[in-house]
Amino acid sequence: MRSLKFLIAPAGLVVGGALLALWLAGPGHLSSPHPASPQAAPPEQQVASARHSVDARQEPTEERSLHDETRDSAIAEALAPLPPEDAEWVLDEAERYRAARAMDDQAMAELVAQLASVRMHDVIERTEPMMPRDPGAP
Amino acid sequence: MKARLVAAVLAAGALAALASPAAAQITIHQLAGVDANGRCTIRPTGGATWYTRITAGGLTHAQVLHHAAARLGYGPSPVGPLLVSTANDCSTVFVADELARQVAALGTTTDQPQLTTARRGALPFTMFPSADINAALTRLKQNPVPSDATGTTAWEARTSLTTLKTLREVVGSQRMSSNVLVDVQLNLPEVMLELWSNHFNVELEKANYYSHGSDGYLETMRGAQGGTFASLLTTVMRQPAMLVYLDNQNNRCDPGTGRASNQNLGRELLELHTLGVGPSAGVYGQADVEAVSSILCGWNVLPYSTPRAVGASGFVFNSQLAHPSALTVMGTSFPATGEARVTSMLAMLAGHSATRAAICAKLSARFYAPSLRAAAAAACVTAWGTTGNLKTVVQGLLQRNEFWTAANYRTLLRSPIELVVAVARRIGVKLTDLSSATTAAGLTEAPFVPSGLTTAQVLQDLAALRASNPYKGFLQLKERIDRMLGFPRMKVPPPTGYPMDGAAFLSSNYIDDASRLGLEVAAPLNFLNARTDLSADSERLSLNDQFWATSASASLEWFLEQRMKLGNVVNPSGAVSVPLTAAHLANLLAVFSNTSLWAVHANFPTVGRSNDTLLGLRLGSAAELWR
Repeated sequence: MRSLKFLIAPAGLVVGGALLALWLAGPGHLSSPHPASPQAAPPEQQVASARHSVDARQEPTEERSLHDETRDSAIAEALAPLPPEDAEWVLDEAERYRAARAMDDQAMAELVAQLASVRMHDVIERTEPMMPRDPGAP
Repeated sequence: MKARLVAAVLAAGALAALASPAAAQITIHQLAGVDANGRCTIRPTGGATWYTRITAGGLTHAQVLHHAAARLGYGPSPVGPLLVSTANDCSTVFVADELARQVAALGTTTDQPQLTTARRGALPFTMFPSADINAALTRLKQNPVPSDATGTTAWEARTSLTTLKTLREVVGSQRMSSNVLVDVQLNLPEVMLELWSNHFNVELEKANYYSHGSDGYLETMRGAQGGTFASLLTTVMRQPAMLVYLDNQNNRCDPGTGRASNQNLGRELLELHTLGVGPSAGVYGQADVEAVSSILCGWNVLPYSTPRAVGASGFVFNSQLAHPSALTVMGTSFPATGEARVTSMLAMLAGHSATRAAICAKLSARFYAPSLRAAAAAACVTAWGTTGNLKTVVQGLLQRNEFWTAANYRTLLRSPIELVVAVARRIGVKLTDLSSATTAAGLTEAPFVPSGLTTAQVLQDLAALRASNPYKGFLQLKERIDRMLGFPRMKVPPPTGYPMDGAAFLSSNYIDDASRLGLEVAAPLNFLNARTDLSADSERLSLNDQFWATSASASLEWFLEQRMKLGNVVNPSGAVSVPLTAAHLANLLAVFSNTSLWAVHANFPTVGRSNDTLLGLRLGSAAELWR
């Protein structure tokens, strides 16, 4: 048993994808703060977040759709290795930042990737407290 | 103001001297050229000022060479013609020129060709590019089949890095000069790297939790130790190893409150890396810790999902996680300029007078006896000036009469790393032995390019490596250092690093360990040296005649035969035993030439080695424990 952290990727991809679909379906599904999240966003920021999300979806152009696909793909890829509860934390946290910052889709994708990595670090520490030993050490 | 101006002018002058092209320096073939007055017929060139300072200190030429080797390297080596036993004015000229050259070369990352060749044989896996290592490690983790040879090899490459450091310390001061192998005795680059890597300590294992965080940490630091302290600090703070070790990858400013979510890096940046004092000292306060931590928000490592090009930095600044407003640290306001704000803050901290004082105190403690440290630190501060150029600082610290005086000679206890390496060097590992072993084992660089190999080929080469003498020898040396330190090297958990003052390690167990070092290091070195006839090296056989004239010789014999069960020098694996020869004994005597250490065993034979505190009382006489 050398490492588990890369074996969770397929499962994480499925769950992460499901969470992503929920998140894209609109604010509210995943808006409640995760217990691990340091602090819930103030109500006015949650409103701003919702407005931003709705506004973004009110531009149904073909170009927009392609852009969404790219962004969504990047987000799904970033969330894929995470267990579902951790992916949820990432999306909650990203939503809080988007509510407070002017952030385009590209920036949002980058933010999700960054937060996913932060969370991945926690997952590794939680599931694999030590790096694998040299399997063939003399 | 005037003092500052003077310091700046002095620093500028010193910089100009360092930047000037070095003239041809004395060669080892000119070491014997002294006139009737004992004055070397060759005069120093680049090291003229060094020579003046060195000779003004009042040490004999033999003491100068020993002092340079012990304090500015890892101890004297008997390899080559530059020997303490034959030191004269020419060897002092050599030390002066070599010191000038090594100070000017600080920051150079390229190994000399002979060391690179030896490294291919002794530690070939360290030649892998990081990208190859990472790719192979990923395969290893995804494939639990034990025969994933490429992944196994890559793992070996990463774990070999600390062994590489030992290799550079033991033989890094050796080079070929017209087909003559010479140990120049000084190894300032590795001495400084040990100091800086301990100052900016990270636990590589923790760093590797995340994005292969340890890759390149030591090498990058090695390349940055010749610039300013500000540039070294900034370079280190951008390293994934540091960011992950002190949790700044997890530091983001809350979008509501602006508070930093993790203060570890911010706190240690102030307390350990720069100002050198805690908040209670009054230089800064908790509010400054919080502001620094907020400025460090977004100062991060590349996410897992972002492809990292070969040789590319793993650093990224994520502005979305940064603090959006101006922040004040120690009275200086830093507007929200993104990544540039962090750099400005690091420059402010690097240039702070408390930082200058803290770093100079640490450097002085590494190079000077306690009674000389205050003045040395003051000289360091002057050399630091306002720029903090590290070459100028090192020069200002060491180019002083006081460094070369009896009051500073053999006055410091070696740290465990220094002790093990010094004993190895004293016994005489040769760079050419490693090169020969490389050839004998059939190891070259080419077979270890993992992408071009089949699994079977990699496994075959891996077996050859593990059977090779250099690999076994250096692995055992590294493990010996780990044991002496009490923890694996480069895996020191606290951010303070390990104590560089050897006195911090003193205990009966430590002394017990030290008392066996000669023997235990001789065993792996027997692997390193392909020769079996150690008598070929006259230096190694230069027995301490006085030793045999004392009653302590009987003590040593008793110690070896009765306490250590020595009819053989036994390989720690138990697989090989080597008959104890006169040459082994000579090596041991050379290492622990002082009789009093052994006399304790003669006087108290029933007490045993461990927990014999009397050994501690005698420690001051054990020559190899001092530098």
